Amino acid sequence: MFDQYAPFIIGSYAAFVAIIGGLGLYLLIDQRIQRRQLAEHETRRPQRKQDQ
Amino acid sequence: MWTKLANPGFFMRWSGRLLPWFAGATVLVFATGLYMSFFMAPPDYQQGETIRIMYIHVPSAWMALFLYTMMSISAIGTLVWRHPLADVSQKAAAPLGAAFTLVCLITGALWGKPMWGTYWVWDARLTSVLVLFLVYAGIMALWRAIDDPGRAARAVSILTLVGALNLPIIRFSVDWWNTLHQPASVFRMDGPTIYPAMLYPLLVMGLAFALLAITMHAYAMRTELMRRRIRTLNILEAERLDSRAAA
Repeated sequence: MFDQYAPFIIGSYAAFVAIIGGLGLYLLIDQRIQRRQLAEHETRRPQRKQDQ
Repeated sequence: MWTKLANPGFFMRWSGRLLPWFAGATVLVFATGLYMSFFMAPPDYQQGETIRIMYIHVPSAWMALFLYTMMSISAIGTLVWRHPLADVSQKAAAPLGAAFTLVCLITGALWGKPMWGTYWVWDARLTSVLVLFLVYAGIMALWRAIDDPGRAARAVSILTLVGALNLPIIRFSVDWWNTLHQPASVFRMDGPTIYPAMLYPLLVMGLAFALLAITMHAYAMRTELMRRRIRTLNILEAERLDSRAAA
């Protein structure tokens, strides 16, 4: 499809998917970790009078 | 209005509502842009099929510059107005900007080899973009080096503003010096010089990249706000335990 330039074109799009996809995956995992830690804090936190 | 918008709670509420729509729009515009880039845009009369690399190389370069410009504005927001979301925005944008700059450098090298006969040449445009990547890396390292977010934000803001001097160099390097890299062909005073059948897919891909960058940036900002809330809760808990031990 891309004649003799196929490795360069496919390589470019693969680099884009690897770098941006990798960063996206990292962001998803990072937020999941923060959410879990925040939920743990919320359950551990002493209840205020207005919450009771 | 600014006070209301500066509220992290307001940001969390609205970004939570808008993010799914932005993510959906990103997927749709990307699918359209890729279809146009591969099936509607013709090969270039000189560069042949390698022109397909342009549809990710150029928008990556735009995003690398756009995110740095946004970081510079946020840096002013941090130093001058102490806007509570400005440093959060800065911190969230740095890895994104670095990633887009890296994509720009790699795709540029892969385009350069078949067209110029080399992956890399120390010409003004390529070198100034490499400097931009190194500045992004420095900013990320500085965020990690200082534990207190407030102090880190001030130090990073100064570094960001110093690094902003590189932006006009990147933009005008192809006009100021004799470079192997071609001059600007889209954002010109006398209008774009690209053939419309190639320009429209490029603009659609540019929109897709912008939507992707905005979506990922807002998502990363939400994560950073959660991280800071956890830090505050940890400090409060430590203080509570301290006062209990003292009593």
